[in-house]
Amino acid sequence: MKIKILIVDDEKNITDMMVRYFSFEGYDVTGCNDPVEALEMIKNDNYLICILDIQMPKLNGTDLLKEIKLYNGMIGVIMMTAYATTENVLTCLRRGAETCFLKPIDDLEGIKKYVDNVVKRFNDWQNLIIQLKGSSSSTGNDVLGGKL
Amino acid sequence: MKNEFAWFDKFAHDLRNRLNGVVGMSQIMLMEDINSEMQEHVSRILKSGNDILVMIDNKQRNLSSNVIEDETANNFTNISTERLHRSFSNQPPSGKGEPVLVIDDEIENLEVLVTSLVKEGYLVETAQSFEEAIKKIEIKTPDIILLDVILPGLSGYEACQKFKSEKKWADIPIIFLSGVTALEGRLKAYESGGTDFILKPFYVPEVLAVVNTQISLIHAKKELQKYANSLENLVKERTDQLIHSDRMASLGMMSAGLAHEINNPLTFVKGNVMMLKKFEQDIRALVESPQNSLDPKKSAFIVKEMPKALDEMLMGIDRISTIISGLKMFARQDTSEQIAVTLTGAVEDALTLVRSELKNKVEVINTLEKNLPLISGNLSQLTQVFVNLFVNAAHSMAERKPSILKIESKVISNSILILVSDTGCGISKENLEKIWNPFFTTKPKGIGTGLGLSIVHGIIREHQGDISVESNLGEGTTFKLSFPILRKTNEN
Repeated sequence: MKIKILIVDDEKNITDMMVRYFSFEGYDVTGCNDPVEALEMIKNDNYLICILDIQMPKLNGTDLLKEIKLYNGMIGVIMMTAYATTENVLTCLRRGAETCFLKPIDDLEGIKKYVDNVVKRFNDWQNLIIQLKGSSSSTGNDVLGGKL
Repeated sequence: MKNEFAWFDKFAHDLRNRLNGVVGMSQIMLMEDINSEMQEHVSRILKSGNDILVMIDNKQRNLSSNVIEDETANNFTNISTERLHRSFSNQPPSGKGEPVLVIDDEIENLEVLVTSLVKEGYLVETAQSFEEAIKKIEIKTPDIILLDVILPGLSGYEACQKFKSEKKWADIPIIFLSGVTALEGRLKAYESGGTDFILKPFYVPEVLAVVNTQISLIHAKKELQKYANSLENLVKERTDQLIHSDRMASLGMMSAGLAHEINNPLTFVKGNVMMLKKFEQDIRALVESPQNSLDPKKSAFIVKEMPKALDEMLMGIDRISTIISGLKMFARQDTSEQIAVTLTGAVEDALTLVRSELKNKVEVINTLEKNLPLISGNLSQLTQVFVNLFVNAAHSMAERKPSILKIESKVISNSILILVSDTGCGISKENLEKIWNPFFTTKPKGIGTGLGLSIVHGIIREHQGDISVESNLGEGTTFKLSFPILRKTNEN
């Protein structure tokens, strides 16, 4: 099963670029330019990882982060921002973001590393559930809740 | 009305002129340093002259039915001789060579006026007719004109009007010399543009008082004009400064928005270029593969140029990024707090940060003590200040010997001074005021953003400090920074 990534930024060129990169790296990645729509997509599909811009109209990234975590705490959320104020970054971390990248993004490889961390964590978690529950339930769906 | 005594009028007129001369000259004698006996005698002569004038007036009134054109306006009859010669007290002359023009066709009047005005220190020219006056004025414009009401050919009032109608002479004050005491005469004088009156026979202190007053008025006007001009210049300077700082403030605000706007496209351009670099290997393989249908020369070119093109794109992007960071710092998005810090820490951190720029190229002499007095500041901003100054110093000393960066401190009353000097190429006089301007730089294209010193200036201002620069082309530059020392107050 391929890991699904959702990229959310109001700028289409940015989502296109990141989709291009992560596709090339072998991920199942989708871009979305509307944060409200993005939340719907997340609730109706199984994205393991979300990469969010902070400054967006209608719903900003930090609030979207909160909504995602409320829906499913397992989803790894990586933030991107041009405004690196201590306040911004702290809020994101407190709300459970994996990390905050500064725009202009210097380092796509770095983001990929965080994505891989989340994937590894998810796999480790899965293995732990399997061990806990024995070999009968292989997906651990009930324990974890939500859709996986 | 028939005037059978017209001959007497003419005779009276001539007599009066001579007697005005006697009265006038006596006064000039009284102004000299003569003993009291002489003073007594001269005053008597003056009074006699005056008496004759009065006699002439009276006779003329009896005989003639015409209005007397020039009666004895100043009558010394009732003034004691003692009081008269007392009034000529020795006062220092007020004139400083200001040009005065006296226009009168009677020689006796001219003599009295010229002698007394020259004694007072003025530069006096005379004219006996309107035409002669014009000639004299064309040569040198007088500060003041004394004008008789009776001139050959035209009246003084007409002459006055002519002067006033000429733009270049309209501002010269005109003093009438008149024997006419009737209000009619004075009205005419003021109507034609006259400024003041001197009555005949001349009372010399009065003549001098009138002229001195007008001259000091002219001086006062000149001073006022000078002040007005310098005030205007000052206002213009201040306005320019205000506009400049307003533009700076707007630039600051714009920069924040601009930085954000540019960040986004920068993000995806860089990301996409990095993607292309990822494709590079595969593309190269394709291009180099023997099965491709590309012209071999073309293939070779692509293989050679593609990585270069991509790298140059990345370099350009990085340069833009640096400028944006500089711009963001300039806009000062983060209002950072200030605490008690010592400048030693900032300087040492800065030296560490620029170590690579300085290593093996610049000799650093840092004489700052460990316990410098505390100032209120933001350590990272202060470090930035020194980083910028040190990097500039290093750049100015590239390829130069000696290459010395010196950092010293001085405590003066309640300020601490830090001096950063280099032995670099120096700053030219014309550039000295411009160095603080954003984007002003003398470095080659691609090196630095030109924002370094404007950021330094802003940070120092936020720390209530001051920064100045001294420089000699070809020798080096010294920056002097001063900060107020932090004093613990009882309110803490």
